Amino acid sequence: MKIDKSLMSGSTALLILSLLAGEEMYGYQMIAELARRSNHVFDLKEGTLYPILHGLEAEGLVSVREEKAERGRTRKYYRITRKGSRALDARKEEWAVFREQVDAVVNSASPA
Amino acid sequence: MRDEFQIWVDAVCEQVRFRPDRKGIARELRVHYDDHVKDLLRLGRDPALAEERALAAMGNAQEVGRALDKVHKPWLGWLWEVSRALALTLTVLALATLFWTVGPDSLVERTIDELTWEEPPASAAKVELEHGTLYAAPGDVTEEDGHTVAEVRLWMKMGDPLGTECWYGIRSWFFTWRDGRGELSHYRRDNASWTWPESRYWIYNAEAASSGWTRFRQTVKLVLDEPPRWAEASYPLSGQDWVLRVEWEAES
Amino acid sequence: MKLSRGQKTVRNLALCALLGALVYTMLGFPPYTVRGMLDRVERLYLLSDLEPVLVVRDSWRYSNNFLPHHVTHLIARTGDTYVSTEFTRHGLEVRPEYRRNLAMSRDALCLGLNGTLYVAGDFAGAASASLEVTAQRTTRTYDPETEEYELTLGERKTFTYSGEKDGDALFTFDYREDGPDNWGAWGPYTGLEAAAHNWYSVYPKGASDGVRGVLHGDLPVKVTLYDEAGGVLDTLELSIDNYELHSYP
Repeated sequence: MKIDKSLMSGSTALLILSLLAGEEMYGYQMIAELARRSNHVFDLKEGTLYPILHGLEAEGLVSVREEKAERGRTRKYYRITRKGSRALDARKEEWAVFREQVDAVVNSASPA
Repeated sequence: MRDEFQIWVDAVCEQVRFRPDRKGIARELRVHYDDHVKDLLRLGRDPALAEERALAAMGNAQEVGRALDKVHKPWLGWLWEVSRALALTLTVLALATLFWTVGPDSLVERTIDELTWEEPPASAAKVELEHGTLYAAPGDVTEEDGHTVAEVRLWMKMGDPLGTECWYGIRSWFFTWRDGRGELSHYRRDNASWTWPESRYWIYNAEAASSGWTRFRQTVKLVLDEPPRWAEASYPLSGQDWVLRVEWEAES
Repeated sequence: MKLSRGQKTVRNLALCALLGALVYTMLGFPPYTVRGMLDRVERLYLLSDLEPVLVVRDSWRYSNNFLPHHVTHLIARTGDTYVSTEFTRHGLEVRPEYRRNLAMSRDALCLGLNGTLYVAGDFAGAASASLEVTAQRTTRTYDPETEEYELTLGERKTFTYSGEKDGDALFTFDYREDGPDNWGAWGPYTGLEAAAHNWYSVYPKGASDGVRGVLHGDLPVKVTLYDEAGGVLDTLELSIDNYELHSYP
């Protein structure tokens, strides 16, 4: 099975797209949500979030809109696009297959 | 107290080569940092510690900056800027051209003339030229001021469209016209007498002419002494040897 | 659905192409190159295979215009037919025959431009050439009593110039003279330019006292071609409009 070497090869991108599959979110919200859902197993470095988000947008997998938040600031909300949904489904399948194979290897080792 | 975050975000933006995007990135990162600080304060942290922790959580400025720079490719960014500027300029130019230079009504007129062009009659004389086909057919004959005026209708079908100066349509000024009796002369200043001898033919441009984009019509009036039997148009000045002959009655 | 930056760029560039084509069509497909101009002449005047013999460019600016006008004067040839015309560009617009009508003639053609007379023809065998142009004082006055124009002809003068060969199809003759009184305003001196301007007059009907218009006149031009040895090869009888000879644009 070939692993795609694009942005999507990072499992981080997969996590982010999964987050956005359900709803639109802004940056800090994604970090908090990811930590909450994974029981803090995934603690994404906040600085690395944005390069991935901007990359996903450049590839057309997410779209962004700006909304005025309090105190005159603007906040950017990200949501998944149709192209992103399709990519996510494809990777989810790849990931499922991958996980099965890992399981197969790990569990086939004879117990000591 | 120095704004440590500002120092951090400046270091990030320095890595981003495409400058126009830096402001948006800085803003987005600052909003994120503020959200985190607010969150920590809500949980009861000490303000100074909250800021320190939130800043640390943002990561290494150089690494973040480099990762962002890879995504914000300068050439794509500049291409986008150029395309925006160009699209805006061309839109303004198109509107200016339409209303100041050309006028939408003349474009409409030409298109109407093009669509309402009627094919010349099947019996019309025709000649195929490099840039199109020229047709001629006899028209009405009337009496005016003691002369006979015979109309010759011309049509032109071109392969490619012609520019807007072609409101004359067909430039037949340099054609030579002959009728049964000899060559007819157009307006020509007589050098010796400085007069304009009475013209023997002229190009009638009122309602009888039309100029489309590739289709043109024109009427030439020949001033004769007697009712015509036939007339011929040719173009010896151009070096071409074609002749278009129109007849009002069959040659006996 | 919002588009990514890459998609927006593609959309913008497609829009640019469309708008560019639209502007080009609305302007009437303006020709900016010599080849484009000759193609336009071919299609307007039902000619084929025009090749350039002379290209002269000039520009001027009216004081009430922001942009200057750029004119390209052309002499072109197809077979034995010679054509002279000009295209004037102002900004993006190009107009043919803005100031001078197209001239067409067989075997040879004469064009006057800014102090130089250009004669085009088949000069492959000619080594040198001389040109004679004759000006004659001509006055047309409106007589209110007879209600007709009266023509008076006066002194005649022939100017001779020797030519420079410029390729196989062109001879140039410089007729501009530097002199203190080029226009003959203060005395009898008249160069060709002064004669072209001062000797052809019309006092039209309804003109107030002394208002003089410059009359169009066809000045006879005789060009003599010589071979290497100096023997006469051929003579050409042409004519030129005096308006082409004096430098008022």
